[in-house]
Amino acid sequence: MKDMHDFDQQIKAYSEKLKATRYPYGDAELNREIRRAVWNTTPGTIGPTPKARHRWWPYAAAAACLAALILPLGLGSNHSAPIKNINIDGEQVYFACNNGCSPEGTIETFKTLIR
Amino acid sequence: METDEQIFTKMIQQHRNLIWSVCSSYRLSAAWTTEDAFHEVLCDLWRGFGSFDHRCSERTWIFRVATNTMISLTRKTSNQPAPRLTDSPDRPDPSDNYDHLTELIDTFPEPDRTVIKAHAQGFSYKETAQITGLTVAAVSMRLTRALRKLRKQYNQ
Repeated sequence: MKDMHDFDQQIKAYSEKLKATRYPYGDAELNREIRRAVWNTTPGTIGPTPKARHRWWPYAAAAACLAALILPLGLGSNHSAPIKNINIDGEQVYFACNNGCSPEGTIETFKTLIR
Repeated sequence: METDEQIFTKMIQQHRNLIWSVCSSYRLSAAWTTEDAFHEVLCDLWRGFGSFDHRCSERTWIFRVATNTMISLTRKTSNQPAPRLTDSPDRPDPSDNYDHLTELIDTFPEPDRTVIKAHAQGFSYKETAQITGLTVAAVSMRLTRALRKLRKQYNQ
């Protein structure tokens, strides 16, 4: 009888502790987690899987490569305009378009631009 | 007019403690933290949110989805080494016999384990029936038997 009473008390304590468990982070962290879950499970979106969330560097590297490719060419410039002046200085290419922009880049990016 | 995501966010904010409690009451391999499990549960909740028909309460539905996710994760990681409960700092206070009882309950087969945990979380027989898919009578019978078995093991 004593064992039964003791066990009932333990089950009660177990239940109370389970119910008293609190989410240990704040609102901002929770909202971020929710957005991440929605983002990761909505078809058509690309995102890191839960276990890859700490592997942020591939995304950073991809962003850096993209920036290195785009920024020297002047993001948003209209290079469909005819190029009126080209100046090649070693590996670096300087040129001006008819619309007034004057981007610069490497020979490789220049080749990509005029292709 | 609120979007689905806004309604979902409000629901999760309201039941965050329950989700965390379910996640932290299962033993996963050392490679998985409670945060990882919490994220998996949120993903599954969002996947199922569109088909949630409100035939049971939100709390019952969330517990059911969270429990199913945790059972699935437990199976997936069962061949990996599991940490002792006390190794994880984010679990409830491990004083008294909480750990001992959790370990004993973890050895129970499904759906007995879920029936005990639902009972401990304060769900009624009817709600537990909705969670497990059993009848109310079956829940009552399984809970009585499971608690009797647990008491026997606990007192050994």
